[in-house]
Amino acid sequence: MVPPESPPPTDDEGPVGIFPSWRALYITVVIYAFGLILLFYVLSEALSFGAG
Amino acid sequence: MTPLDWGVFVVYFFGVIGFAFWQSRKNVGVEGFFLANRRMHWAAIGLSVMATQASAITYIGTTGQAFDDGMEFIQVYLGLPIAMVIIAAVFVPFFYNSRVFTAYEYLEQRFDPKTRSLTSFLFLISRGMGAGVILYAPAIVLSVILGWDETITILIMAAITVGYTLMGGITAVIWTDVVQMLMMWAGILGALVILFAELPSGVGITDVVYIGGIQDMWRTIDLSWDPNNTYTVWSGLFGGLFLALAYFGTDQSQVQRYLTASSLKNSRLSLIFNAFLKVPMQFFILSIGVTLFVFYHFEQPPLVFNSAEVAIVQESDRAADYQALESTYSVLHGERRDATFELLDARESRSDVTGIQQRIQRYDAQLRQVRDDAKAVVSDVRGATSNDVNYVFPTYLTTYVAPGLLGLLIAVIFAAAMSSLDSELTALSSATVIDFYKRWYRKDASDAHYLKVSRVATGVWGLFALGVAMYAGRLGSLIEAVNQIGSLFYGSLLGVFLLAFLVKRANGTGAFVGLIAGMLSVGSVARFTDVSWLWYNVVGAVVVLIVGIAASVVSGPGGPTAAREVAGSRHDDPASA
Repeated sequence: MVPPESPPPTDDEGPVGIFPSWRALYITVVIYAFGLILLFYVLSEALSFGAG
Repeated sequence: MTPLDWGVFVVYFFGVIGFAFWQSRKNVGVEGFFLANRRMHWAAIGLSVMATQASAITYIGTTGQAFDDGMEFIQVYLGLPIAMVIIAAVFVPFFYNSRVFTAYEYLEQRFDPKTRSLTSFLFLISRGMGAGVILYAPAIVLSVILGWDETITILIMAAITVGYTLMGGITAVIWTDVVQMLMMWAGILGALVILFAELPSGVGITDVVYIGGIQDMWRTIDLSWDPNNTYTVWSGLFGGLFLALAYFGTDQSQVQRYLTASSLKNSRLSLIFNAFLKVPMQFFILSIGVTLFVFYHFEQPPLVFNSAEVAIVQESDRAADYQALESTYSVLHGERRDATFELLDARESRSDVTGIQQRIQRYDAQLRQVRDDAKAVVSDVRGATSNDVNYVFPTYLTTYVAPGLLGLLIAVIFAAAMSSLDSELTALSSATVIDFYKRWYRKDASDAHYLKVSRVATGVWGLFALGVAMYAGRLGSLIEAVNQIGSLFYGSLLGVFLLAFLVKRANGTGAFVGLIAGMLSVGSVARFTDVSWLWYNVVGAVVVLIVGIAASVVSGPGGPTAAREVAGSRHDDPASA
């Protein structure tokens, strides 16, 4: 058992592929997620050609 | 389908089944059958995670939904990448390092046996039903294409899929998922290319974007705050985040996948892989639906796509009503088609297009009304809600796609269904055997015995899915049906796991009471309010957290977790292999 009081051992140290750390990879994913929302919003407005 | 289509279909279909049987030779014992002896690579797991979620429902239901309502459904997935980060950073280390077979097994280690049993039971009920819906979706395709009765189609599909799943185990499931996921990507992009190729001469991608834009079909973001509105950016970010956390973080069909990884790093990477690719994949699938919408500006679609239901109506006393609607639909479609060509000409010559756009919008509204009236006639005759949205894409395939390619695209739909159903069956089997049979009934049997029981459980769950599949046609849009079934339980299950991972003082009593309170709350919200189903997961998880913490404080220390901590001993779960 791994009780929550003593967090389980992780592999948080060291690079992950081209990313210097897990933290950098996670931040990249979050930025990507919000970037997608921004992109979709821009597309929604730009591709609305209706005559009102 | 032509003989060439059948050839492609049969070669692909039996090739995958043969591959599954070939992989089954690697199964050694229960750990091999359920966890591939924990040695899978992250890319294979990542593709399997995607394939498990992207069922045939994704192709059939989502494209049909985009054909009717546009791209807004994609907002459901906006919270998914963030959920993947949370699961990879918080959930996975607990699961992976505790060496469990099922997600619910962890809850006994952390809380107590009753919490484990209840959560596992809820999983079995909800995903058992989900497996039935997954089975039903490709059966629709065959019924449309071959004119077979849906029941016979469901029976044949169930027999084949259950047969190779109970022989193959998780190794076979993951590797066939890899092949099938690659096929699905090829199928998505191929379907788009074929659709554009079928457009009238002179009509290109920019015209498709423009015509879809007139009806606002490309709108993906809705910023309104109305909780009764199903698809908004907020329901997607928060409700979708909780849905993804619950599904990928607590559902055995997904947790089982990343428990097969050869390391914690591989386990996490498989989820991050999904974070990057899932939303673009849904975008392309929905784009097929909107492109179909534009395509049918130039070609007349059926008034109702489900030809079997149309045949029944035409034999009923409402036949005259339906025929009148069909005539109106045909006239309106012709006028919209002419107006669309006129619009493209005017746009090319840079003339004023406002008046033509308004005409097209008016025709479109009238066409939708006529289609809704026709669906109401069908529902009236059939005595059940029409699920016509699921027939849009299959009808297009059989009507317009060239021989050979049709067989391939149909095979892709089957691939999607098989890759989801086999995963569900192995997950249902593992929860049944590990969380119930081995935990409560036979604790000390041989590995060979458990392997045999696991195969039997797979077959029994296949039969259960078969029973559900017989009634799935009455659930409306399939994609929503599966998510709605899950949403009644998922949020509360997620709440229990969040208690386990994040709240130091939480104990078994708190988790159990919180779970009951969460499910009652979700049931009440679903029964007495119009709040969108995407918010159910938020309600369930939050209620479980609040009530669970309160109940833990009231009941105080002394639960199983606290007792083991005092003893300072490692909990040896008797159910663990």
